[in-house]
Amino acid sequence: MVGSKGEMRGPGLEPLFWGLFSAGGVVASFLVPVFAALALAGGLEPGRLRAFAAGWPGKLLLLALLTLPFFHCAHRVKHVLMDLGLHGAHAVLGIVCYGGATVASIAAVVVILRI
Amino acid sequence: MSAPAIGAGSGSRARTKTYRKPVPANWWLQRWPYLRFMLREATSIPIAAFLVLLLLQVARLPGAGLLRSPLGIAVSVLALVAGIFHSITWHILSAQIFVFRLSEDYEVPRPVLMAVNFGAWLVVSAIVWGLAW
Repeated sequence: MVGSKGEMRGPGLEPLFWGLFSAGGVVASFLVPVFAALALAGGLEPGRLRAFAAGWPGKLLLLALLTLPFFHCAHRVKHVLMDLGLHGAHAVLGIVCYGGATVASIAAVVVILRI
Repeated sequence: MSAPAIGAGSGSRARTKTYRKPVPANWWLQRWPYLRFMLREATSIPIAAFLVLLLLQVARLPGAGLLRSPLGIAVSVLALVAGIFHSITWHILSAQIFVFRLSEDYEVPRPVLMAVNFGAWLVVSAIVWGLAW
């Protein structure tokens, strides 16, 4: 792996984040369009969403949707920004993007399990 | 990917300088495949925005319908378009990556894998719709 200064580095946490990126991509590819369509059709109104999240199938679907895809998006945003010339900010971008995805995922688990 | 360092003294940590050709920041506007790559990467932005809104809506239940506000509708429309684009490219891509060998000399053909991907996407979508509606 080539670092920001062109030095060889070990892989570090990259394989973990790549795994989460990949898993998030799978979850997003199966769930995002139908949830976006439901939102537009009024299927995620508070009453309906609450009933959906009250049962275990709905809870598990929401847990999958509101955790892994955040890591997918974080990875893509980080690499787009690096591709746009921010190679030097590799470490900061990693902390901001993956940190944000971690915070959002923890929040999602707490919030969904409370319903 | 790490190549053996040439001339690294024993005991010293190997550090190799790699030449990086300078790339202009607008490289992705120069060829359609590059732009298509960037568009696919950019689908993650409306998708992330939608997921954050959905998370906020779940957090404030039984509070007001965030996803039906003008912002919520706009984000949902963008996420629907971006999400379908992501799904199509992802299902095509994963059919290229995975190799399923049923026997020594029979590999499931790519179009079959792709059909399974798209079929599974349809079934999952129908199940989720049925559960939520």
